[in-house]
Amino acid sequence: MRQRGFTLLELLIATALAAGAAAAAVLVGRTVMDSDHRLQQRWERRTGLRDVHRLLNHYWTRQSAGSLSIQDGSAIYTVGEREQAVRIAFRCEPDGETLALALYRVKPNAERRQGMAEQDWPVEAREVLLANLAVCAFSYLQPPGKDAPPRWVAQWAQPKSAPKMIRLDLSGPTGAVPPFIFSTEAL
Amino acid sequence: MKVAVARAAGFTLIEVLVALTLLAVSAGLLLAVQGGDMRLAKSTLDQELAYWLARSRLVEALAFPDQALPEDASNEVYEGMPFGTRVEYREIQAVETATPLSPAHRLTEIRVIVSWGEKAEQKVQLSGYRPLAVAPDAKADKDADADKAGKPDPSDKAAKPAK
Repeated sequence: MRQRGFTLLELLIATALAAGAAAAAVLVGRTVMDSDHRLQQRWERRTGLRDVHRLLNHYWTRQSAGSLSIQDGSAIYTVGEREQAVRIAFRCEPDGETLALALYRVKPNAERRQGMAEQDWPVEAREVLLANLAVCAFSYLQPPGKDAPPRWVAQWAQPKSAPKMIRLDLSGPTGAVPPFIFSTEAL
Repeated sequence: MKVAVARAAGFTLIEVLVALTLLAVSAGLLLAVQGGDMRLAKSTLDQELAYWLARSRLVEALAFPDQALPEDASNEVYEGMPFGTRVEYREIQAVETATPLSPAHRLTEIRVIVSWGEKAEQKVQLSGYRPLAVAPDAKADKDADADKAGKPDPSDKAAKPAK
């Protein structure tokens, strides 16, 4: 029996087909991996966003025990009086080239707070809720005037009273999310 | 000896083809499962965005039903996905009565509908209720009365045949 191999033409065709199939497989694989990676990023990002939504909803829509105020761009929730007060503040602040949303926690501590102005109370915990943000901005609903419709303002001018509504606009590497709007009183 | 050499020659074409087919099918199945998972994850993420959007718009509209948002439709893109929002205001009467209720006892239903997807086939709908705004002056009252004369209350009509 004569031993017979492939002809050059057969080999060339086979190589070309194999190369084509491999290239297609690589292309499909890369596309799938890319979109999977993007999705993964979005999913991880979402965990942080969800936390922020939940925390703001918690502190800003149930204020039976505490009071709300806006100072220097921070949204502050306070329970208790003077040395016994607990404060939780949300703040958008610069973080390198980008912005970050941070949460500051001040727990009651009579000794360390003696004779201090409220804004100088030592912060006990700072937690970055979301980093790497392109947009991080609180705004507050200005009630309607005689002829003026209600509108969102970046600066809250009355520190004594809380705005009726608070809004947080966020945009990061995965894109913008809808504004988080919470009513601070029962509707 | 000749026979032994022939046996060691390798796989037949059929064997190789079967093996390749199995490989291709399993790779295809894997990709299909992966694709299904990704679609599911993506739709969950989009749905959450839609819910946030609807909730925010409803909170806004409930506070100032007459001024915050006109009955409108708007489009915004969040995380690469376009969302359409529609706000509808509808006066509803919770209880059918022979005599019309005073404005304070009537309700406005505010409905926020957010839709997205290729053919806007995905929808999230939230509604809230609040008392109908009481007319601030007599003129507005008169307008409301004129409205009623022009378009008789459908609930009255419905009540008559029953008597």
